[in-house]
Amino acid sequence: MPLLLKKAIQHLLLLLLLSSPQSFAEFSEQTVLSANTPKGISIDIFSEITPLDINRIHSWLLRLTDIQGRPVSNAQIELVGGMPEHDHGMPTQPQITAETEAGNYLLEGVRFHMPGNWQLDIKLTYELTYESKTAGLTTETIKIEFQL
Amino acid sequence: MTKKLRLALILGSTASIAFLVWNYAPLPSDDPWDDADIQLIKSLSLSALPELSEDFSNSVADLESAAEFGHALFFDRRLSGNGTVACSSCHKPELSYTDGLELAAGTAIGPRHTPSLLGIAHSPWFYWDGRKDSQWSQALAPLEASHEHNIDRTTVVQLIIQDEDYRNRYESVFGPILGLIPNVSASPLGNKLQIEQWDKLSTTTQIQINTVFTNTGKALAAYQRKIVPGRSRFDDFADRLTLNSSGEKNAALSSTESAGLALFIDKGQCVSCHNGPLFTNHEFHNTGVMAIRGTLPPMARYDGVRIARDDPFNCLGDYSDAESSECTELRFARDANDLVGAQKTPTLRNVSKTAPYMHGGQIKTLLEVVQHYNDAPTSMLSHNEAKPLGLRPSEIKQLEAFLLTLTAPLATAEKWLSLPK
Repeated sequence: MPLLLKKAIQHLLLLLLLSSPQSFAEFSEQTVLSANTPKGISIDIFSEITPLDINRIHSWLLRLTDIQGRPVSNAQIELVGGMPEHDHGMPTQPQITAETEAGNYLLEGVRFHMPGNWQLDIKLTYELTYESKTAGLTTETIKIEFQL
Repeated sequence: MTKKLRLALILGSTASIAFLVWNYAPLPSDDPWDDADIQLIKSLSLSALPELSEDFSNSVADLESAAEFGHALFFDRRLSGNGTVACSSCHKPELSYTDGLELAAGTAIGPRHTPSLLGIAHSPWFYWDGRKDSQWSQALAPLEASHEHNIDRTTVVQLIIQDEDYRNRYESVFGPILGLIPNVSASPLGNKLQIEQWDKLSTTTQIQINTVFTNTGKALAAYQRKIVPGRSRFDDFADRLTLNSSGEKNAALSSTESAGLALFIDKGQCVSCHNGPLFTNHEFHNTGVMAIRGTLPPMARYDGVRIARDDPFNCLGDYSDAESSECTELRFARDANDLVGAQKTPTLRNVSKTAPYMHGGQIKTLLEVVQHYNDAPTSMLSHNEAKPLGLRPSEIKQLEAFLLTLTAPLATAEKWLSLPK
């Protein structure tokens, strides 16, 4: 192969590599869990593994939308999980590591280690807006219960 | 015979028979299994064991030549201060890589019971308290522990340099050994003299020693990834089980063993922690086991996770081959108060061969272990996650019978199970 052609192909490959969108894990098309806060924020959770399973560390995508279906950006999200019947928490401390696009938050380090009833407490701090006007920071905590 | 005496005899014998039946007559099992039971039982079969995932922190983990080098090291008694202790001294292949002792005996008696190594490469954490986050990093600690191999890292590196066969094996896996390694006994974790010697070395030399030392651990880990349990009678039972066949006779387990399995997944709650094909969730639980005689109850995982984070040989450290994004378990490890006194759930594969039990070998027999969980005593430190089970003595025996069905010859090829030729 002529050197010039080889170089051209190398450049093309490099260009393709660099131009590809930042890759994140693939998430389920359907939500695995969802809930609404009293103030109407919807939390839809999509998982890297479906159905949810024990003993596998994985990531979730949390999609936050307000009552009008608009994405909720720049929210602070804290998640604590546990099994009330056994009086212990999750084996990991999952954390939001990126807002991958408006209202979509990457939660890394999710793992469950026992079958049974689980409970998640999700604390959201976000800016509530009415007709394009901000109404200050709001904090809400909601519980999601599910069985593995 | 008076009427009263006759009545007393009848009542007495009825009560005695009722007592004996309640305690010792086995209950008929609740067959057939329902859909959820079958799904749960099949999730415990070795057929459901996922392929061993890549160890990003060890680039030679699945290299055959690294495993062969690790195999030689695992059985080598020269890797000890007094020339008598190899990894295989406590992890004996014929005892499913345990030693049959309450507490491990290396160059001295240690503080913990030797855990089984079957399938342990699937675990994200190592040691009873999970203070190591990789198999290669774990392998380094016993070498320098004064009660185990009692050898320092510089002497280990010298052994590899001076033994021609080892040096060739090492260099074919990891490339040339760089620098001039001094022939001294030196380690940052050794005795006072060894620490002094270590501090005299240049940073470059320290890094060169640490590189060969950590690579030694990576070879030992590559070997230990070969140690896997074999298919047991339980696996045959689980694989044959279908909704249609559940009423039929499944000859792989007796009715007592099958009743024990039913208890294992339901009333006994064993499956809460002993789940998945290796019968462990690789996690940490406080189950109210008494402290080892003469010692205070340990903080266990509460301390272990902190030690792992501070370890220079962890997944995020300079000697790991992983990108930081690949160190998910370490980055997201939890360190809350409910981990006080929590010890790692051991595998139940070949559990009949790994007595005595618990982190200090405190409980001698399987029957006593089941009795312990039936009683669920108050924990000496923090709280016992388990609750009393209310099992009858006959049910405890059924559970024991089921546990005995999990024993089988290892699936590891014969050549790995003894001193390499």
